[in-house]
Amino acid sequence: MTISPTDFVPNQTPCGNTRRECLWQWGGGFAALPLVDLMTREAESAATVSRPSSQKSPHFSSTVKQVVFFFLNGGPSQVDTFDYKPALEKYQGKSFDGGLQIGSNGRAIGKLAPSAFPFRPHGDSGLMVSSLFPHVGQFADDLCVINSMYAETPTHSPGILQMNSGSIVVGRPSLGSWLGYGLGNLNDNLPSYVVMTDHRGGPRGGAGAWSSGFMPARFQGTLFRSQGAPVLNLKRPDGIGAGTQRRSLDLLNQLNQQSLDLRGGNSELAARIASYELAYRMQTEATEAVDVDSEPESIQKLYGLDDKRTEYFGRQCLLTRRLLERGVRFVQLYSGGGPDSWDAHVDVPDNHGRHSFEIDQPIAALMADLKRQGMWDQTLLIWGGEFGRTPTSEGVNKPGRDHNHYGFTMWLAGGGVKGGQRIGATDETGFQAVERRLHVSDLHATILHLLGLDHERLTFLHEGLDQRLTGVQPRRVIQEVLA
Amino acid sequence: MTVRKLVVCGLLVLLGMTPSGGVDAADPDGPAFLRDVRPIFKAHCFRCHGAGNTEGEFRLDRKPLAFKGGETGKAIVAGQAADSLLVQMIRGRGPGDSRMPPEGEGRGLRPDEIRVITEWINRGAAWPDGIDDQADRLSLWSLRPIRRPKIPTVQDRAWAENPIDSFVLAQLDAREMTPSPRAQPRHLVRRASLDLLGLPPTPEMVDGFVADGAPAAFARVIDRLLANPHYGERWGRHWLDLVRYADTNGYEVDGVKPLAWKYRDWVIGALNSDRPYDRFVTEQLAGDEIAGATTESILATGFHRVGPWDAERGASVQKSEVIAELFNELDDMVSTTSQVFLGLTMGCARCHDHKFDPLTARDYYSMVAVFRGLKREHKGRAELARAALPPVQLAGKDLKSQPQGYFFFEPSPTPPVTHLLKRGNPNQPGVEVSAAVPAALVEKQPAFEAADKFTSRRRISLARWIMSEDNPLTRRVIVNRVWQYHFGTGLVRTANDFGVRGSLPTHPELLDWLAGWFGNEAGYSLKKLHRLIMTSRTYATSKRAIPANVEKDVDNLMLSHFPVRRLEVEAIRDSMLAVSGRLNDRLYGAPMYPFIPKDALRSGYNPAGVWKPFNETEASRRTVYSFLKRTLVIPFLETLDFCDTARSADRREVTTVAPQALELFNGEFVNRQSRHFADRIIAEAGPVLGDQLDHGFRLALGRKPTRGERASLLGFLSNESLLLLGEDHRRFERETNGDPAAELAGEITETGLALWLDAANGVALNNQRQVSRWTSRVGSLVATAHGDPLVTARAIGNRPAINFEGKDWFSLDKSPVTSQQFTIIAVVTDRGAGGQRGSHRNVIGNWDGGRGNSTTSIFLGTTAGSKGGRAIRLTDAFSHREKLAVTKPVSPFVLTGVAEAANVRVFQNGQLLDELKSPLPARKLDTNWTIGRQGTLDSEYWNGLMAELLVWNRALTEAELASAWRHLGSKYKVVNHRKPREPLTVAAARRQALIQVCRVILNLNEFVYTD
Repeated sequence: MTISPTDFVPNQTPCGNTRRECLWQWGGGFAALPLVDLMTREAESAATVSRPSSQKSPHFSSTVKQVVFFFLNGGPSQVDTFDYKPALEKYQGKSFDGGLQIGSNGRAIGKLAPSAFPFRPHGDSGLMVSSLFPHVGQFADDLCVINSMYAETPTHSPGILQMNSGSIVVGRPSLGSWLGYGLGNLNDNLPSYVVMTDHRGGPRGGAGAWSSGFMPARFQGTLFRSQGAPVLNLKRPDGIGAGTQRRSLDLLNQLNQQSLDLRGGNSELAARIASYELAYRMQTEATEAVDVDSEPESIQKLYGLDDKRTEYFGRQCLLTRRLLERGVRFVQLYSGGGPDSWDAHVDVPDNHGRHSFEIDQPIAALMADLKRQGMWDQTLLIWGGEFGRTPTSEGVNKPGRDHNHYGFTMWLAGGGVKGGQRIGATDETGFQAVERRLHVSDLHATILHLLGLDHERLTFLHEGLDQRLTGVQPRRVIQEVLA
Repeated sequence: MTVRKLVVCGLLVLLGMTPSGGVDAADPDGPAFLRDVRPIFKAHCFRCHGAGNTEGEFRLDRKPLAFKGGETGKAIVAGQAADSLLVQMIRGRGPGDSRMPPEGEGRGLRPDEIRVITEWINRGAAWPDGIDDQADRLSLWSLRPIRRPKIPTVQDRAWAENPIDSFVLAQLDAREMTPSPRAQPRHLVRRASLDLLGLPPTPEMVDGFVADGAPAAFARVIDRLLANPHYGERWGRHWLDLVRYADTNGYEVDGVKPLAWKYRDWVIGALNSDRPYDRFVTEQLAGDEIAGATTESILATGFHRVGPWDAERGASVQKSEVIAELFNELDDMVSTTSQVFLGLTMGCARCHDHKFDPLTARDYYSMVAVFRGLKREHKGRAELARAALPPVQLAGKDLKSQPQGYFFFEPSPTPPVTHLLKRGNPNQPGVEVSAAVPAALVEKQPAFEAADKFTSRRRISLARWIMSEDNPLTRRVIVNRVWQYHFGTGLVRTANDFGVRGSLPTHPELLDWLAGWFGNEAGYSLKKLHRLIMTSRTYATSKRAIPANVEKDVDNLMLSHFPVRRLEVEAIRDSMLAVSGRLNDRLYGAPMYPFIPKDALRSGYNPAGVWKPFNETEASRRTVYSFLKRTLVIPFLETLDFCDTARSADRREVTTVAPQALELFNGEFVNRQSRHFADRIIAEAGPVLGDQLDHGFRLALGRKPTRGERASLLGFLSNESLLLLGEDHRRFERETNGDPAAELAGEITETGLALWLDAANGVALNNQRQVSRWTSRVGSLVATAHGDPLVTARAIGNRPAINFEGKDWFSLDKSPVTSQQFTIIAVVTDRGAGGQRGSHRNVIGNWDGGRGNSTTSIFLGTTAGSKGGRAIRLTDAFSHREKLAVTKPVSPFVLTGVAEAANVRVFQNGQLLDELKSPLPARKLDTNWTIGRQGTLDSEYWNGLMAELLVWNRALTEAELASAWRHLGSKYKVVNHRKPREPLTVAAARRQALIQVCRVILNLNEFVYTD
């Protein structure tokens, strides 16, 4: 006997979880269950259970639904990319004297060094972009460049944690987890939060960067491979044919259903039965989503799939568009990883030259494609790393630059973002943010705001505190960003 | 007792808070109090109308007072915003046009904020109970002394088997609920075994208990289980969750904590020997400071050190980084200690006084002072173990020869001075504080002992207070935890938070009675506590709910039936091993490494060597012995809700998501155990299907299949084995009698064909008749000869071939491969290593170590295999595999290597030898290609004939490959020793079907849930 999936529509609460979990899931963000005795919170929870899908409404309406984060792992140099510092020419070879400790962990402190890459104005806005990003430069009027970012550490791993989770300490949920928690899924057959790492390796500190921390594991990022089976265990096991797989699954469903009927329909057990069917569908949907080769050749070329230098990141960017189309909420792409990241201590021209070439055309292609597909207004693009780099070279006449968390650049583009502008400024050497200094958590507050979430109201009760992505210090939405 | 007035920290009034926009107009539910309304109150009102400050006799932070109103009148009239003074005030239309907040006390409310409040009041001003900010400690139940409540009298006295039952039944009686009947014996014994050991009972144990009708039988079962050393592994893991145990430090370096597992073993051993809880706690906090300290008691203090550590910062040359990290470590110690033993979230007071509980920043730094003297032994970023000897015995010993362990030590009896840090900032030290316990918890500070010669003795002083009679928290917290692990939910649901924001106990009297009993009658014996709880009638209640009870108590807080729940991942994995017969039940020792798929390893920062190679015997030990790497959580564990190891975890989440189904149905582990399970069943139950099913069910579920299940399963088994036989029969027919397509002539597809060398075509000879050039039949590639290769006529299938001997080789002028996907086919013979050093021989490749592809080149070649045979190598990433063996290498054969997007395969004469099932790690392609030797190396020369060599710059499809093989097979008369795989026997088909049944059993809800 074959049982069709529809036979397993369980007698369950609308979100497919136990009632308790539902309450937690729906109410949790805002009603923080453990506050309230279970017997007395019925009134508040009854309303929240009745929502139809796993999508949750934001605090206020927003056109932006999805996010792409280009994470330039290792720390890209601001003065070589989007923070134009002509004064460095005149200071070339001079020491930096700013009263702050330069660099990380005792490396050689060198002299100020201008960029090897010429800047020129782009677009109607005349935004200055270096020759490292000619394709992205064509979208200058869409870029909102924040030149005055600062972070709390010049060390990679805690820096990556901070840019992702707001804290330099492990154990806190990442931005993508907060969005999944606050906004829910758009497509239940795919993970809501997808991470793709560089083919040379992942970021330092590994999966901590996409951890859900103290939130349940379902909010953590899922690693996607851009070729083959995108997630672990998606393929059926060796030596088991499609027919056998289906028949075994039917047998499992049948036996589980029999005992469920005997037990009068525990919703958690019913949800578990349903999860096997969902997994079966996911196999089809996820595999189809990564089929980048089915894209027209012109599109593949647009993303640089015809050049081996841009092919890898291009493939990931094209896959990103396919995932966004299918409702993935948050996609994070790491550029650089393992032993070859943006961490250009030795040679910025070589390092940044290679890495920017790999990503410039693919990023611009994704921007063009999102516009073409009418997805621009619903997508927020974020570009940057865990910190920037020093305007000084490392040592004398050396072309490398050290870590710098005192001032660095990020840019935003897409829905809700006012393009063609720079916000804030570093000092004339590009070392320290001096004008409109903006903390990483201010950026986080702004990102949440763009998606319709109030960073002070998006809370999760843990260890007795209403935890927030932006922590306990006062943080503000960067109003100038907003269109 | 002193009552500390709670100061609402200015910081938390959230200066400059800007709730953006109102609620979504489309939200049909209107504003929710917690989500929308309270944050506005908190930001704008609590500072003057909250704890410690009640301007106008009005408080807005507590429900009754808010509704009561203040001097000016009633503030909130539910349903009537216009009549509510609150709304009038915030709109600046209060008495005398007064506005709230007043000028100078913050900005006025924005229209959208006013709209939220108006709307909320108009919709009835729903304000859930129990969420008010607490002004003082007096009302915090958990700080009140433990009472010894009277055991209630219940109507059905026969029901109550011990005092626990009286408390539970009294509350059920009060709600006119009747508990479910007693569980059947087989459920009960399974419940107890999974609970205490994390393993299912053996069929013999089930039979024994079911047959033994004596009332004391269940108590005997419990005693047997408690005496089983697997108990310590199961319950030790619960404790390891609480103490955020892992084997590495996390962060960028993620270095190994040397011998951290000795602390893990201490926990398991202490539980197995039923170390009294007061002793258990004291040893972990201060095992080096107790009288009669031993190596064991010192290993217990590993408790402090097993948390995360950012070695990059902690060992930085930058002092500010070191100090910042030091205070993170101290926070880890203070937070863990206070949560684990006291159920208090002290960590909240690091930057400011606790928002809700009577804990101040001063209290926090007084706790910091307790641990301030502890030091980490490390050399740069690498941590060091230390001799585990009491300080008094250390002098004059060769420490290296002493037992080693992983724990902090106090290098001096006078720790550095501790200051209160403003906003938690090490650069803003405030007043100096001394070691003390939180002031609000005690009437009088307990005495902190004076330092002795070795240590500050602050930890032992803290431990004494934690275990003192005056402290009501410790006993309540531990009995609640034990209750939680037995029933899934504690009597207090927030096991790590007994503060204001924690939940209230569902059975407060029972909790106090248990806490008192545990400290007195049980003498802090955890095993006695288990026994008491498990011999209660409450524990023995059936898992089936009575519908009327569900109506009244949907979450089963009153325990009218036994709450079922999914097992923790360790119990699931260990049960599978136990059932499959492969559990390696060796206790204690260094960690083992469960299987991690390559794809999961590759995402790490430094994949090389992070995970030890798979060793099935070791990996079949219990899950508690897994190596826990903070930056690489074992996917099987992670998927099934393993806890976060960054902080103390008081419970496991239970999520039900599709990736779990993928892991348990498609994953390596479960499929491996399914095979073992099936083989075990066949070996133990014999060939009769019905016997096999009975045995499998009894092993896994402690019962025989029901009639319905048996029918389904028998139907599946016979159907599936027939289908498998049928499928295999068709395959065998196809392979032996020949596919009709096989009769067709094959051809070489030229799409993507970059190199086609044919010894009968394009070979140029010099005047000594040695080969000088070999030109490709397609494209423009030319191979230039080196050494003195000769053409042998009629070498293979009556056709010529190049004879590679000694140092004969060719260089190619251009690369045939420019992508990561390629196909190489060669028609060759392989005479073995010949006289050359080393055993590798290469057909073609682009190795150039000097230019950086010593491990990332492409090559196809052979090497010495087992028993003098030949093994094929297709790049370094796909070699040294048992199945890559050449049959009859001296006879001509067609050697094929295909690298696809997600797979790599090697064939001999069209027969698949092995496949990688993942893409090759990226190959470096910009080096020169050679034929007949290994790139730029003057070695690894081919020793044999080569008649034809083809390279495609892409992966060929199945059909293209088959066509090429047919072409080459008939051209070179290569015997197709593609011997068809033997047909499936009936027994093998039945085994395959049984493996499927086993996989299904291991996936059943019943298998992964408590009984």
